[in-house]
Amino acid sequence: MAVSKFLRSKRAWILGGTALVVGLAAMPAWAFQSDGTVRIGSLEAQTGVPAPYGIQALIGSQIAIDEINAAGGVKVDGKMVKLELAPAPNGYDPGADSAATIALMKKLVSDDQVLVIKGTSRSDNTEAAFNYLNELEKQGSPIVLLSSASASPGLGKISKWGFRNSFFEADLIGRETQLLHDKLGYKTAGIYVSKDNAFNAVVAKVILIPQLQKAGFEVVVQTEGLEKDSDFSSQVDALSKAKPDIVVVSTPVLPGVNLMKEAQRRGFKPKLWMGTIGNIAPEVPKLGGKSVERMVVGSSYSPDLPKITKLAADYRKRGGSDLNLFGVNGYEAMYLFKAAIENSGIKNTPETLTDDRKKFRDALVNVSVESVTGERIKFNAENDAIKKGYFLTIKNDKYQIWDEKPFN
Amino acid sequence: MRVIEYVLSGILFGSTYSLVAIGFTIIFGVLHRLNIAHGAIIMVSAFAGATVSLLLGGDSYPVLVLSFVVSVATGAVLGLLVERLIFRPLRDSSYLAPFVATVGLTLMLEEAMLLLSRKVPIFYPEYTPYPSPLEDLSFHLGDVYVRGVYVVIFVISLGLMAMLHLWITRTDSGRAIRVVEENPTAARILGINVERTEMLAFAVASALAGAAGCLIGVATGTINAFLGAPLLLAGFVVIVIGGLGNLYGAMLGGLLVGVVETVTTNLLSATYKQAVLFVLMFIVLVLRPQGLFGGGGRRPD
Repeated sequence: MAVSKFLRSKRAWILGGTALVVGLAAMPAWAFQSDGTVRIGSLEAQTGVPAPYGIQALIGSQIAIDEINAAGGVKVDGKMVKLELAPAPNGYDPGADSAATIALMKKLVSDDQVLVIKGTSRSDNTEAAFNYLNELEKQGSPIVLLSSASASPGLGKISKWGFRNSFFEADLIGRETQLLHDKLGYKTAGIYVSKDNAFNAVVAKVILIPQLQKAGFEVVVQTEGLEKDSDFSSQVDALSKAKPDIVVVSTPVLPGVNLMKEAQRRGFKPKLWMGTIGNIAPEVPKLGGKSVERMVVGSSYSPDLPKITKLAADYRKRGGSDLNLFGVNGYEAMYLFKAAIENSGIKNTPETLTDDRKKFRDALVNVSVESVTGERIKFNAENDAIKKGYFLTIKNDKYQIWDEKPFN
Repeated sequence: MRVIEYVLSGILFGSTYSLVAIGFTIIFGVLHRLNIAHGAIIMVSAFAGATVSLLLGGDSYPVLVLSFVVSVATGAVLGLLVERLIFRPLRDSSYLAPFVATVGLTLMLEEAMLLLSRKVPIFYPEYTPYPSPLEDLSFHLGDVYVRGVYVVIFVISLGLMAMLHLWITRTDSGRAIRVVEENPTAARILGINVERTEMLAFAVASALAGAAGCLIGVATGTINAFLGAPLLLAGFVVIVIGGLGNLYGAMLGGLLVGVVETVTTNLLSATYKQAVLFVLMFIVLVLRPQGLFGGGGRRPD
């Protein structure tokens, strides 16, 4: 009697309605060939410390997907279908959490049934994700995960299912050091490293110092600090005492800028500051002003290219802020996916999903696409995209191509 | 000579840690609860001040003063909201309830500012500039190099601490705070409005947090949505070293932490900065648990 009374009550209707809505929301929205959609799982950080990189990558991908869909979509099994980020519209947000990354990968593979995963936004999360890709392969559910923001050396060795179209500056640093030594005649170098940033520390140890020495530089002073440091007195003292021709900076945005500002305040002026990937961000010219104008830094793209100018305008319209290389890479990734999907011969049905994921990987390995950066992009043996890159410097508050001449 | 320079820099910049810790310890002293949102209040106040500076042009001293006032006012208003919306309703609950609630508020404020950093054109997603005319100000005292902005920060902080001292010791409302710290029941019997006193303590503590937000933003030249967390940690170390709830301990502890940080960074390595601080905190906790300058008020929960 009581049950019957409850079932007729308003509260029961509210509870039932809520349960129904929650249930429907939790159900995966099946969208295969029959519905005209290819689903790409997205795992970009939208909260926490890596959010500035993840949001760039996400918005870059969304702009590319809208462009691709507006142009008719991708051709799958003889039919034009649309690309869609899953879950729409912004994918999942793992923040900076590797455990959440793995849990959400499981969900994308099993519940959302995506063809491929795009993410993550930070090297340590990507390392965990790449290791989990091997687990998925053992479990019979292999899937490709492509990160456009993780650039830590060596991650490509972890799994054959892990891909990256991040910008790897190792080759560019080699060319840059050789150019500085041979063409401009610089002989001595000082180094500043953010020691608590694993990426910066590894880049300094594995790439910068060996490349400087290989080019013929004498590394006369090595200094270090932490990402959150606000005082750079001793580091600038040490650098100015050693009087190196160039100072190489392996830091995230802020400590790099603050070091150069402190050097300017103290009147220390090397012939050139050599930046690394962490020193490219729209904020750098604004934060550093004149102090960063003698910096040369490798980049995957030149902001002067017409296609990049258009992408930057689209990005500002959509994201409300300036484009950086993470946004460019996110955009580029969708065109790599498009080419791989069209070359893979997938069927895009629930029954063929596991087979489609393997075919997609095989196609992605061999894909070759002309990027918005003007370069033709393909993957190397470790599934890392090979990019020649550009040398940029800062003038009048803007990054521009460096003319490879000494600064006044 | 270099050591003198590092010690001087530490004392000057350490005064911002004092401001952070004083605010933190005032609230702890009066309510015997930790306000974890104190760091987030510093961060939001810094953004409020930077907004003024970015909109009106950061190279002028009147704009800098206005930016400071806006930061202080933002801190005070946010503090009042935190007291009213979190601490007051949870007054009789477990001490963990406001702790968890303010952790939640911190996360919300951080993410909200991160979102705003993307949406508001004058802000930047990763780091937003805090322009000021003090940016490149520096001078030499003999061979000792001194950053002008640190001196300004120290003078302002010292002024604020002096005003706080006078208020606490010479005014009725200041004395009321001390009475509520010592014994809220006795304070009620004496006719002190404890709720209003707690509100006042929150407003003053958070206004100091706002001042710290502006000064730290000006010193570093940049702010971001996550700047509060390390400051909160530094503030916590300061009040443990100085003595939980001890106002003067927080003042001196901040300077000590500033010196230890700067000297360790410059003479040893930045890598050991936090390790040295925590070793110092550990030693103080073992040898003198009440802090170097003794705990203030009644015993905590």
